[in-house]
Amino acid sequence: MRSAFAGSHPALNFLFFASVVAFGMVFFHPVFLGISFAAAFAYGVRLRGRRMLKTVFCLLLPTLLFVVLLGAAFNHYGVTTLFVLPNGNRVTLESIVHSLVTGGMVLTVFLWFVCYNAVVTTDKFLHVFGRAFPTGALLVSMTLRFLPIMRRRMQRIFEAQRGIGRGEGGRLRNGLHALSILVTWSLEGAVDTADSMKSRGYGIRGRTNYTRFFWTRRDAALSVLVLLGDALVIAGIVCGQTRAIYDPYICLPARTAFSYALYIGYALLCFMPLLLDLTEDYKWNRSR
Amino acid sequence: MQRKPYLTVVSLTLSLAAVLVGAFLLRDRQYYLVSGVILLLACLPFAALFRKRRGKVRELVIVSVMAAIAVASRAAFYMLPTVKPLCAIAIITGLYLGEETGFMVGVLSMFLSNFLFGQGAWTPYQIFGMGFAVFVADVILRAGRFQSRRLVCAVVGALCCFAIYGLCADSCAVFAMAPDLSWKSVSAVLLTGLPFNASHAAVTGVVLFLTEKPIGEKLERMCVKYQLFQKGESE
Amino acid sequence: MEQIQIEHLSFSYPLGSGNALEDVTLSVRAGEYVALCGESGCGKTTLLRHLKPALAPNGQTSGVVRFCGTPVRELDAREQASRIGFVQQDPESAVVTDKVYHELAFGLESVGVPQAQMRLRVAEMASYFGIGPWFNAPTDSLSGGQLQLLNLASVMALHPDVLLLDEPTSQLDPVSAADFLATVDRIHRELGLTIILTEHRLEDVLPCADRVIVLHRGRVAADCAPRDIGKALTGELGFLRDSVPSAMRIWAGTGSALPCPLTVCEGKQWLSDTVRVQNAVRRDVPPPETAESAVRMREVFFTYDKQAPDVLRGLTMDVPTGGVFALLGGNGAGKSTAMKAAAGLVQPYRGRIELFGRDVRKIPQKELYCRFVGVLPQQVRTLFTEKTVRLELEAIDRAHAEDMARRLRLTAFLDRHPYDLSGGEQQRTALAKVLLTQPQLLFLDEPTKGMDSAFKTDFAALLRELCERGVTVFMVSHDVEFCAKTADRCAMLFDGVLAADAPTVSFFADNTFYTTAANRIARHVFPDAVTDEDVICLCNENRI
Repeated sequence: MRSAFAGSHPALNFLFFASVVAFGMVFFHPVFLGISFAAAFAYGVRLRGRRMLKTVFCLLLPTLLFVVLLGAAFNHYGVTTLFVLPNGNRVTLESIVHSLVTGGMVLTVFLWFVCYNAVVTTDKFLHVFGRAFPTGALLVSMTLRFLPIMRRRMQRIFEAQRGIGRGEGGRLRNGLHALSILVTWSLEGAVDTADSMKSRGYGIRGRTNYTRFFWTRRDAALSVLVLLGDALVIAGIVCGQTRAIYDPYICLPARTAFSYALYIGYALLCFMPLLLDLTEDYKWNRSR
Repeated sequence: MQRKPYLTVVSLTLSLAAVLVGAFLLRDRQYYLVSGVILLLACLPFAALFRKRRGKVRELVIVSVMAAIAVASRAAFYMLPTVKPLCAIAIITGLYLGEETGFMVGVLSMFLSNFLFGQGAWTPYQIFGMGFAVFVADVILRAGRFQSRRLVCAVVGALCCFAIYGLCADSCAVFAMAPDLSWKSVSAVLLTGLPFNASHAAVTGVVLFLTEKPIGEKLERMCVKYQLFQKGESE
Repeated sequence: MEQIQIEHLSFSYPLGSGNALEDVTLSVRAGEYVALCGESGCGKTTLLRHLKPALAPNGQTSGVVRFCGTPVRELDAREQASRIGFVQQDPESAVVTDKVYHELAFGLESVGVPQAQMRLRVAEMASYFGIGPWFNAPTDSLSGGQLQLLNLASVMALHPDVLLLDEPTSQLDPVSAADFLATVDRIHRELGLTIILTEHRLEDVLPCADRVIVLHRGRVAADCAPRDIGKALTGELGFLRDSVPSAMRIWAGTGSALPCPLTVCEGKQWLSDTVRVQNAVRRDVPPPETAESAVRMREVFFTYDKQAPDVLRGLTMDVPTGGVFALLGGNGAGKSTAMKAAAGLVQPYRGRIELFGRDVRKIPQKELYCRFVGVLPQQVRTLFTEKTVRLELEAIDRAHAEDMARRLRLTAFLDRHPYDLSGGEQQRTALAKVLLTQPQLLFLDEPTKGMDSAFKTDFAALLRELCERGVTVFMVSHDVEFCAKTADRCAMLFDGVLAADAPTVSFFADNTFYTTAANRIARHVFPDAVTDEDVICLCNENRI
């Protein structure tokens, strides 16, 4: 799906995901967790459609269940006993809620990464880290180039070996045999690749970077907004607004006007990509 | 690519210790984030390897080729889905071309396979774990000159894969899922990962045992033919 | 102005015997298009690499190479990277990065061109070479021809003064190869670059080149205008006979006194002036005896992916027993797939394939690929597993290894590593390996790709010899000239079905475009003449 946020500058993408993933990892407060989860889920559906729902139901709900069972089995603190297990251990409301929150956190972070994988493609990644790690970025790019070649060669090796009657050695043996042919073949090719790099001047000092991405004023404005959101949330953390205690009983900080401002701010931060996309959709539809 | 391997081992171990200590010291379950951040910081000394390497262009291409092969090697066993020889190939490369080369191949191939199969909070743990496991295995094997002693290679490789990579990769799950860092709950999480780690380590061992010699010979021939990865030489 | 001067250059490889280059003295003026040719192993690549210090081979060098007056070795790295462009043979390994735009910018990044200027140069190159439509594509999605074009564009982005090309078309199919050479010619005409190109396929190069330099055993054997090569063809340049354009070869074969033709068009005119024009009657070719089919395919359907369109769409084909059968066709017509299906390497989802009357699916693998079917793949390196050629052969059949090595003239390299051999020698080793399985039915996938013409002649003789021993050869090829010379029967595959299937002579005589150069030159007078030899023979009989 085409996304306005995905079309913006990679640095903005990174800033946003770093913020939401970091916050997603530290907040135990159910409201914050809920906001982040809803935003990640909604944006994920926007980006990946039906496949997102499949991921959530087939992969994430079982994980959540595992975490809740684990928590209920090992934690026996809390004041509200729900029932007592045959071995005499209590299962408490507090421990179940705590496990749910833990599981929700894992889920939320996972969902944010699903969005991240859809938005940050390899060339965006290389753009952001290419300057700091030129050699690493080039290595990644080269390896991405070689990978499909290796897969194709592997296929050809299997066929060729079968064609001279060498395809009957058992799967593991055949695989290892093919691997060893592939290594020899590809190492020889590496010399040609290195020559091609040398002949185009690789290794000269003062390498520059070609980029297809441009930093626009909109990117700057959005980055400032994200940073402002970050600052607000960090202020909330400092004021203890995001603390949540589950042992021995559930205790959340008292709600003040600041808490509500914080909720709204955090929601705006998390929903930013989706809001951006929807605004763009609206403009597009109106202009037709 | 030959520098001081022992110094690197020490710094790797220290950073691993820092991760664990940092995680345990910081209560209130912030260790999920904190451990990730510390891990990224721990990778910084190694980032230098990928920053601006003064190496031969050919050596660079070979690292990339071996990493691509390591990732693609999954396709060689398309009929045996549990066989993932990535770790074994990185170890063999390091065995003949130097432990830092092995480390780079391990890190690069893990990074790429994370890119292909989706990144997550586990990415830094897996990358770090793979690099570290390959590096330690190679340091041990090279220090003992165990090249072409394939049984030793297989055992050491499998152990490093199991203990180091398994622990690093699972620690992500521990930090994320364990209700607290008590021995009981941590071991419960680790136990669920045990069958997977054991099979991964076994595969690494078997692949090392069977391919250490044929692939090693090819890497060696390459080094001799084009005078690559020689000590104390740079362009 | 003399741009490149080579003075008394001699060179020997560390382990090689004798000099690879022997006292070469040459000079090339700015803006010249020089074709550097000779048999494989004559030193043309070695010479070309000496002009680019970053790629100069290791070994004993004497003499000097000057670029605009300064010895090339003294040029600084940035200058030699940008002013001397070098395009390599294999586009697959020459392309370094995963995205087309990144590859275009690679050289510019390396020499440190600032962002704004880089953007302009990349844009210029993309437009000049027509890369725009696939500018953002991954390099893996490109065809061989596109990859080589990208490679050229990426070198051109550095604005070189000299362009060196090392057999740039040897890995391409004929159509892409002609396109590529046309682009090189355009660069030469429109930008006035100096071009030095090594090539063993001279048909498309000679008409464009200003000058031809022939190397023989490391020495300059000839340095002349392209047309003058023809005169020496019967004399000292006899070894080039198989690689020059058909028109030139026919001209030399008839010993005509008229000027030497280079292209098909010139050849046609020359022929009209040389022979009595007949009223183009075709001889009747008796229909061939219907031999038993070695391969019988009936309505075969195949696709690699359920969602993808069918590669074979009801292919029905018969390959007669004995003799050489050639399956021709353009890129992506499904030739290789048809061959793989016939050899049992891929399974069609519908249809029936029989080998000597037996259903290929019912033959056990062990039996099928041992003493029955042998497949020589396109990339022969996929077959090499051992450390020496001897071990390669002995891995298949210890008892007959020596004998086979003798037959394929491999005895001299038995103890070499297969990867240290030249392309032709590797091909022979691979063929020996396949033949050691004693196939009755031999499948060849593009056997002449990257082969030089001298070895092609050898190879054709080898195939004939196999036929005499009763082996049926099924060959898939782009190489029209080779098929015309070697095959008994040719078929053309298009869009997953056969478009034509006939004995070689009538096959090519019926086609107008998809036929040999000799036939295109002579079809208005001798419609049945398919090979150069046919034309020469008929010419000599019908002189004015």
